Amino acid sequence: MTDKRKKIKIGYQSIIWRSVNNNLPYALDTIAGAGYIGVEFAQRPDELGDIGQLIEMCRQRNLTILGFAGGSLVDRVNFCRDFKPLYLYIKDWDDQNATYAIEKGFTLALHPHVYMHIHRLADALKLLEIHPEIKFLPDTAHLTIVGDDPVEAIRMTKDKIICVHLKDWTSKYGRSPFRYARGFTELGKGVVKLDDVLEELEKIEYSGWIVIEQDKTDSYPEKSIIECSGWLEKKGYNIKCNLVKNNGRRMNNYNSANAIKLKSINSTALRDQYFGNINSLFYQKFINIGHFFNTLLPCLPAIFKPNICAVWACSPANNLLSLLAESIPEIIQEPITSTIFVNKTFTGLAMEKQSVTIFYDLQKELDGRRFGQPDILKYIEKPIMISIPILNPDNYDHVQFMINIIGEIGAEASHIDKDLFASLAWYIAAAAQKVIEELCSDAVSSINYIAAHENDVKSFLKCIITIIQEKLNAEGVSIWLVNERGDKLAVAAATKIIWKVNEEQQFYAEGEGLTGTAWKKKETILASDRWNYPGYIGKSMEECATDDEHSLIIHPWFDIKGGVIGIIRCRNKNLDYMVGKYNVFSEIDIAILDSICSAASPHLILLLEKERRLKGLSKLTHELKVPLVAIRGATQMMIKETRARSYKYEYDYFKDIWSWSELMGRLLSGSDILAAIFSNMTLNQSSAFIFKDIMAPAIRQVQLLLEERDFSNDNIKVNNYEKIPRLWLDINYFQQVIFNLLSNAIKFAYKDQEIFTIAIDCDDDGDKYVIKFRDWGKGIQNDVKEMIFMEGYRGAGATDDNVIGQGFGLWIAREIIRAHGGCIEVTNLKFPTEFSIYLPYDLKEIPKTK
Amino acid sequence: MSSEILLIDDDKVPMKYYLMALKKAGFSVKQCRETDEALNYATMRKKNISLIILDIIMSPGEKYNNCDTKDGTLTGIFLMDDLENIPLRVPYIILTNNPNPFITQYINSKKGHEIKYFQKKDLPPFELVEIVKTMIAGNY
Repeated sequence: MTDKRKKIKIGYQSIIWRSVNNNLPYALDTIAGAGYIGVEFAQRPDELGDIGQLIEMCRQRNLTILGFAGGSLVDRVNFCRDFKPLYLYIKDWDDQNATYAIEKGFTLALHPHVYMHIHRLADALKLLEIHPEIKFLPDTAHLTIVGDDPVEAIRMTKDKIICVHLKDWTSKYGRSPFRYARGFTELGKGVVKLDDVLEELEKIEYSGWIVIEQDKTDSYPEKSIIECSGWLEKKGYNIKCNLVKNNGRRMNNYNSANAIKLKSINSTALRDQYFGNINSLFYQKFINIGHFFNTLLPCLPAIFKPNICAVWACSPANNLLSLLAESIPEIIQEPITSTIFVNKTFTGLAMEKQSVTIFYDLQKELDGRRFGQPDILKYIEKPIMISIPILNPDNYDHVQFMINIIGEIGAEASHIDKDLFASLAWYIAAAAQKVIEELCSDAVSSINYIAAHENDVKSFLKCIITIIQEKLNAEGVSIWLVNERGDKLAVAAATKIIWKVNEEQQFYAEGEGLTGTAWKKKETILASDRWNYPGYIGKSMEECATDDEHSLIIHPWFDIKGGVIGIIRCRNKNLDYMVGKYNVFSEIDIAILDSICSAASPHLILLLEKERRLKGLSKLTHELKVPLVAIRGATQMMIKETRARSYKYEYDYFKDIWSWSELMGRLLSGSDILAAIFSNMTLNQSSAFIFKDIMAPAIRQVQLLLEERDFSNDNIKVNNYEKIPRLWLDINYFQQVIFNLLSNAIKFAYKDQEIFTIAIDCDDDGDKYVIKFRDWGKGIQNDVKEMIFMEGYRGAGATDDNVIGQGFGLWIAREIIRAHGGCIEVTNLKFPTEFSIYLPYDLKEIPKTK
Repeated sequence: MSSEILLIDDDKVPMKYYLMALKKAGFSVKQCRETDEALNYATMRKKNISLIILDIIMSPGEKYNNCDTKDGTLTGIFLMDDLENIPLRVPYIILTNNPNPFITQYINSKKGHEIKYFQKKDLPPFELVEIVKTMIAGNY
């Protein structure tokens, strides 16, 4: 803990309380009580009252007003009047508004923000260079989410930093626009490198402000603020919390404030009409968000006639709104345009204002915008439009949807209550949020289920594709993985890919085409028209029934540390007339896809790691076989020459060498078989005698194991093998089965040579062949007789008696027997321990592959 | 016996015992350690070769550099197709260190061809000689 840390001043942002309204004094009391000495206000000026009163309230609590972040820049400038806070927060650049603020003497602080135009460090650096008069306000969580390094950001902009937003974030909700904000969490609970950031601030001898901006909490504001104070105090900062945790007390949050407004509506009937039908939506299940909105629209109040309702999905970084649902009277023949531009339309204007907006004259231009569907106006005399933004309850910067209600001016128009629609918007937002969360949660559950059942990468990815097709209604889906060298994206699984290049070029380099761009920038591409999307090269595409639809998602697949492990592409959203007529992908699809990726990521990484280890094991096995082959070759030559020259050694060294080499070969085979099982074993069947080709070699291979324990192979009896005819078996694999059973019997035998016995009996059961393998060793406990066949299982006896082995022997034996169509089970536990192998009759017949 | 056996394998030391055993049994044996060399030799001597012993895992050489040999683990399969197209329709013994499901599938697809497949560790030199004798005699 250094003195440098003590020089840094700590403030708190008010966003955690959403709308403060009547609770502003309480919010400020809590901030001051928690030990903070500065406050940055997130609320809009109209929510903060009078600047003079605000200044006084803060002065009374020894709180420095650091800045204002909510509402438009012009509104904040006008609100402040002559008061100059340390900065005004900006997350985008508008020449006119910024000039206005700077000329009024305000300092602007640039805060790069996820899913805004300036979201990356590189974008911020460019702007800071062009406008040296503005300051920098780095946010540790936002930089982490986009893949930038907050430490590097601080290092590169140290002379420009006016304040640091210290924030933590967990990746468990993914990075989609809908859900990334759910990941904001209290300091120390996420993946942001906060300690590194604080060290860097010390290195650069920073003595300015740090502001804790806790956008949301899973608990409640007081608890959250105390936790963050405590964390900072432990790190050596000058902060002392004097609040006491009170689990029972909660401040009114924004939703509660709305509840107050709803109660003030005098007419119960009106309130019931507006909200009553929507209540039922909370209890229904929807298969997609279009289904939800198509169900919602008829519930909205009929304000005037005709009543056209349309719902648009918004894309934060995209200039387009995509139509999700509509309700149109039959009299109107023209279809509603499925995509509209934000910066050209009235809907876009309302979206930017983030407040309910009534447009009274749809024929005229307003602020450079026009009504987007003029051809339907001929059906409505004196039409007006109410545009209702539906915000993300977890992220006030994010307008999720726009609802437009278009109708005729009548007497009712003068009574349109904007506040009522604002309350309605929150209600719809909560219901929509529930639907989206359920869709994401269902997708995650599907992934977790298949992860428990799929053991190799290929089949896991195929199942993921099926889930994506189902949950997104996507026609063509492909999954691309980054190769081990990290320089190429290759397709790992797909519905079907059509390539426009030859085989050697069938991959993407970083930055190549839309796929490579999504990889390089770590950003999702959501295109409603891929051919006109910048960077499109058309190297490959998923095969679809028609090529008319252009809807496309290219989504980076992140690991838990934020690195890109692959890309998922979805092409063409299928129409589902039962729930909606529109087939353009939207941000909701990205949210679901992101949830799928987050859930699948750990499983995929484990499977890839298993594959890599098996490859490594295979390579090692291969290398060990080379000297083994040489040793056996040389030994056999020596045996021949020695016999030819009739020379006799005092001891049969060659027999030992031969036996050891046989054992080594068998052990190496076990390693090969392990790898084969994990990559779908293929049998190399030939016609084999059970004794000559299978039992006898396996008994030879355990010769040295017997000698180690002073056992004799005379105590291994094979009976009635003539009852089993020649069968088409994979000789190498089946020798492994018998070898594994023999070596287990030897390892778990009593040390008494007199007792040691293994008896192998063969029989023809009438409809199957049976091999009974019996030993008189230590036996098997009844409760583990199934578990002993599990991969890696080692019984208590193995550990107690210090028996070597990895626990794969019986599992391998069972897999091999299953591959031949048979099965193995324990049919007696002790004296003797008996394993029964059952082989189907059709092994007598030549396999179809032959 | 004057049958010529073509042994295609890039391993030198382990294979010398197989060469010694085959020569002791009276066979004339030529080892080619590279794929390009093997193809050229086979083309020149196609009338004399009675059997080919072939490894699968080998460096692709110039000829197969652009083929998908999976880093050389399937080179022998590409080579075998080209040898057969010379044409060189003789019995083949695939003798390799590493079992690979592709090899089994490939052999199964070659119905009517005489191909046997062994792992080297399971087939010491003199046992190979016995199998070669049997295959050349057409009795396998």
